[in-house]
Amino acid sequence: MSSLQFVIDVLSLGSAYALMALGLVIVYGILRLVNFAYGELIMVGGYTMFLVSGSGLPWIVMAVSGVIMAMVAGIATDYVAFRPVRSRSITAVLITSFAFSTLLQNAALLFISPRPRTVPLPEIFSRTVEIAGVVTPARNLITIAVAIILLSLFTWLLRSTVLGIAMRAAATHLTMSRMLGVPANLIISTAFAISGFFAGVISILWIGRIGTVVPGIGLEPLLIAFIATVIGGMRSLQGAVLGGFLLAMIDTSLNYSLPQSLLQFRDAFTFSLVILILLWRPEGLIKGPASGQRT
Amino acid sequence: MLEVDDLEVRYGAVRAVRSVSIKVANGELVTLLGANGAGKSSTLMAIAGAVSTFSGRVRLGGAKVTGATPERMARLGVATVPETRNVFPDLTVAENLRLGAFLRRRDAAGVAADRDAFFDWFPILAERADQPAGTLSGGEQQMLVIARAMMSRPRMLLLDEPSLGLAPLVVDEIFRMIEGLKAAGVTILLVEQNARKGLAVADRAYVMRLGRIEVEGSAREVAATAELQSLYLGGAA
Repeated sequence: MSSLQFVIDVLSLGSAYALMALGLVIVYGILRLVNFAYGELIMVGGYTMFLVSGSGLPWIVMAVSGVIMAMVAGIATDYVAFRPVRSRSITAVLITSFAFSTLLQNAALLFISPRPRTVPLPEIFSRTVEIAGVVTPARNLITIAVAIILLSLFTWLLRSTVLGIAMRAAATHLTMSRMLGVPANLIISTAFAISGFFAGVISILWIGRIGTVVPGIGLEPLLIAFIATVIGGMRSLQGAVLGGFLLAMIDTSLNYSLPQSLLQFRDAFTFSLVILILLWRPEGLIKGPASGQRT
Repeated sequence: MLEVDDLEVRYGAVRAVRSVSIKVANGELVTLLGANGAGKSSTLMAIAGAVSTFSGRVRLGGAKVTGATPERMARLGVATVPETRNVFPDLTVAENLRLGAFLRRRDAAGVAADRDAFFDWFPILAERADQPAGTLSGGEQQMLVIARAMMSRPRMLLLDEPSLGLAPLVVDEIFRMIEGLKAAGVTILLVEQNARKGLAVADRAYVMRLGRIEVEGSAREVAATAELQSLYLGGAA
């Protein structure tokens, strides 16, 4: 019972973490650059849902428009922050991606509100279900199901479509894939669109957990995604998923085992374990493609 | 087909290629010879669009393509095989070939037919179709990258040192492949360090030294040049 509870908790938290990490690593894999505006894509998804929810349209319209706007914001990140300075310097891209992130956050502060806004999700998100004597929120099972579907879809996309094969190739050697006629801009924009797609889905699942959207909502997912990819291996998609589940397992185990008085320091314990993992495997658990260079 | 005029390539202050002019006619196999560091690969990569040109002109079929992106050159029908022999190591042999036909991705039947033709020609690639390309031997990888480049049905093939680091028997096999492609009517610009091999298959040849063209002519003429030895060996014939 208690062990089943633990498994469900790890799987649902890990599913969310894995999706967050995938959205970050898909861009990193191709550009070798961390998109610091990734958290704001989640924010854009959240506020889009908030704004659409006022219109009285069905819930599914709200969710789909949240995902679409997060994808649009992802592609916009490429056009605004990355493309103009991509070939010049890494430092410039880091700064422009920070700037874009700050810009989006401030836009939310200015035009919406610094205070949390409630996003009404359908009743199923707050319902609980009972499996073999274990009572768990239905949203945990939804998260697991969504992750299974998206990971299968994503795997299929990467293995069986020409565009997916081109994306895997571009992740090991962008210039060589360009010499085969694969347009660099197509690959990079697709990576940002996929990143935005994951961010949009995360915004639904994450708001399902916390109920509201605030301008800083993306910070925690960005941090989680970053840690998960660092543990799992920055260059490997499987690594990102593995890192997400591992991080969720560490967090959940600490939640179960730490005494109440220490629970507020949980993150300190988590990070200590992360440091230990990195001392043991500095490149992350999965190494990723052998070659690979920046462009 | 290809006309390079007064090409210059710089890496910072280093002038790797200086006023190089090369012509390759339709159906011709032209070899660009020279010692290590002579600027052969830089010339080839500048034509392919993978290295930026400082000055000079590149024309393809009469149209100006100087400074085109690698993907544009590929779209215009120029396939490039760089010397670093870039198979995508995590992709299977079949996926590598499928990606080679990226520009023809709508023509599934034609792509499959071409792939099967290469599988007939190189049964070893067929046997390993589902293995990651990184597990192939050096010679097999070289065959794969040439086959992959040909999957786009290019008008012209740029080949950079296909014999590099391969055992003599394997080199022979690669050169048989190049002759086969030539016989099939493919226009080829071949960069080689191995002068004997490079000249044996060529119609015409250029010899580069320190970034410049020193000798040019038919393969026979260039082979007869006493300078060829000295260009490589610094005078000790």
